[in-house]
Amino acid sequence: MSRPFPARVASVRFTTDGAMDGAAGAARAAAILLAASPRVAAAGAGLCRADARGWERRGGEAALARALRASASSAGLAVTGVGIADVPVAADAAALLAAERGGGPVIVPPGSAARFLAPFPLAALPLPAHLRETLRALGLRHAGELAARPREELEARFGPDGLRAHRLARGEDDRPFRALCPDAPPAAELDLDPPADSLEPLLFVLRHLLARVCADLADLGRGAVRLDLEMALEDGTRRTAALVPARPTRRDGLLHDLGRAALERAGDGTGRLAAPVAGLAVRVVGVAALEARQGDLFRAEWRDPMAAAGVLSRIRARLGEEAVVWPAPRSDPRPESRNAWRPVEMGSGAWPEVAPPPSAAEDAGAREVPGALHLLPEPEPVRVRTEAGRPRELWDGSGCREVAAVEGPERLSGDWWKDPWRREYFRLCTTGGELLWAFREVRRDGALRWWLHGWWD
Amino acid sequence: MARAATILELERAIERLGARPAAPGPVASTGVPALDALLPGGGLPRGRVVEWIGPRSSGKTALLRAGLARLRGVGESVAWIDAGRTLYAPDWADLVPGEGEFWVVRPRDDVEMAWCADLLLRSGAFGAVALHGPGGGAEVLRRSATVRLQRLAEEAGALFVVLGEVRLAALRLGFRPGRVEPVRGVPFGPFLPPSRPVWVRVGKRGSAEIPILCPVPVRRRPPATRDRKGPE
Repeated sequence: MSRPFPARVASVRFTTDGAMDGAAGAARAAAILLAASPRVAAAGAGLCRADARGWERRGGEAALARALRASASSAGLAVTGVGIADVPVAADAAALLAAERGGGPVIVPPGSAARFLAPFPLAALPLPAHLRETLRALGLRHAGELAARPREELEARFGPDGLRAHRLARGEDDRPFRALCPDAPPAAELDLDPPADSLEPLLFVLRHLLARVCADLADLGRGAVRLDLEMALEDGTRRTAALVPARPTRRDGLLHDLGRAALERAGDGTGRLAAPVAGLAVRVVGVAALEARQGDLFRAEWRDPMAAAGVLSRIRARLGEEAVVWPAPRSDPRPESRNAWRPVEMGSGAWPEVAPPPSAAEDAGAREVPGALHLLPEPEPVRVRTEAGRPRELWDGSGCREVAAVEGPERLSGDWWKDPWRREYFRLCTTGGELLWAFREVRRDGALRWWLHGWWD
Repeated sequence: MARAATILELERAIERLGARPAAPGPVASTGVPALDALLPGGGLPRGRVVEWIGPRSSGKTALLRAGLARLRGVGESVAWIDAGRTLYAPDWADLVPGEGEFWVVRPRDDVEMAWCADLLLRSGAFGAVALHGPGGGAEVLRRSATVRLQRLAEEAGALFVVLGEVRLAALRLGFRPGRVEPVRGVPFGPFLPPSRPVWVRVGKRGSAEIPILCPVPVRRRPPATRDRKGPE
């Protein structure tokens, strides 16, 4: 699941004095070079690499080298050499050569990395010190000599290190490119070998992936609106689940809870996975500025809105999108259509304005309270005895109720072009004080049927 | 001069903050003065389980809605756990001004309902949590769950109202509808006044009659004369 290195890469060597010393200095230098290339990665002390693609119409790779030097010099970064090649190992060697020559950049033509590397000493290859010494003791001095040896021989003698050295000498470099790119959403991924067939190792990996992603979000000064959690299954297929926090966030604990719920949905409910997972990736697919609302030290009732967002996200992750809703009534004649609820749109909008507390005078005026309707999810069939077309008694599962007062009918109909319906609604007040909402359905064949649709409470 | 006055004001505010009584103590007004007058402390107690019971049309939802609307008005977050899924959206839309902090959570069963209540109270982010069970009726929560939720509500200082019977509640409010008396000799009209009484009993303290606005005018009709034709 590694991200391949770009097809053309530029290596920049610079002096490591003062603020540019060490890994931190390399990261600082990489940030400076972003002015010339959109993807830059720190590659250790005194070395950065940049994506060199896309300069064909902007003056060629020589123009990129000039741009890198210009951006570095404007920020006080002393560049000693720039090299451009197909792979990092060749570009690094080219930059070394450019630094020794003290002139312009060294550009290795596409497809000739191995030929370019052949005369370089083994010290130009990023090999473990002990391996380099051993190879030298065996009489191998240059990269070309190492590349000429049979691959199987090196693998048998030195294992994976020998194989990797052989590949580097042949100009084959598949090291991942960890670009520093402020506009690209953060991502992190990990291959699992052997594949995981239970939830526990995945949760462990997920925690670290999210910690990495949240650290990157902190660097950006942003929060994640949405993340994709991608599982690469052993059979080659991929599954993706969306992690959507209630508000933009970079709290890794909250995101871990959402990820856990997503992984549990992918399992069989007993902690086992439906298929072994060979890789896990977390990608931020939407970022936004973190929202904040000013608290009030002197108001005890003030509560952290991010805590509310976190817990609602957890509920939504486990129970589904429809589990946390806001009322969104629609203008529709059919009551069940009017009774619409919409899933909370996570990460949208500003915090609502808070109205001032009502005054004592306003409170004193609140002597009447409007009733609240309860609408049954599905109307319940009832039997009704009528007099002159008006309900007098109503029977349902709980027995008979006498109607003391009735208002109606309110005739509603619609959908004549596809599924016509006609209802006559009555508001019934029973002698026990219940306020019921019932309707009489008039069928196509003229038959009548009574339903209880709700009650006021 | 202005700066000195501001500093003095802040110092006084800090003193008041320090002098605030420890829990329990804070109450939430119901927004209905007649009901507040019945309640100990003048409002619903925060950090306690409040049992809120009554038959259909007793006005319990309307009164609780009024109390929650008042809390929303002072900027508190409110969550309603609607396991029965019977809330009618148009009646609740005004509790969400813009992108609001009134949230309706819809679990599918009793287990999820208790889990949601646990999470919401544990977060400490909500000023009030109302729980309406699937049937809205008897024994909404088990005893052990009530104890647990009581503790969480206390830690959060949140108002926790259970619509339905619940054991170990710190306060019980019982509602029953007032009778709509038919008027003899007045067949089918005129309209009734747009309000009707609701009786509220708070523990053993007493009861009050609170007018509830009727949803629509209800016509009076004479007492039913028994006519055993049978239902349709």
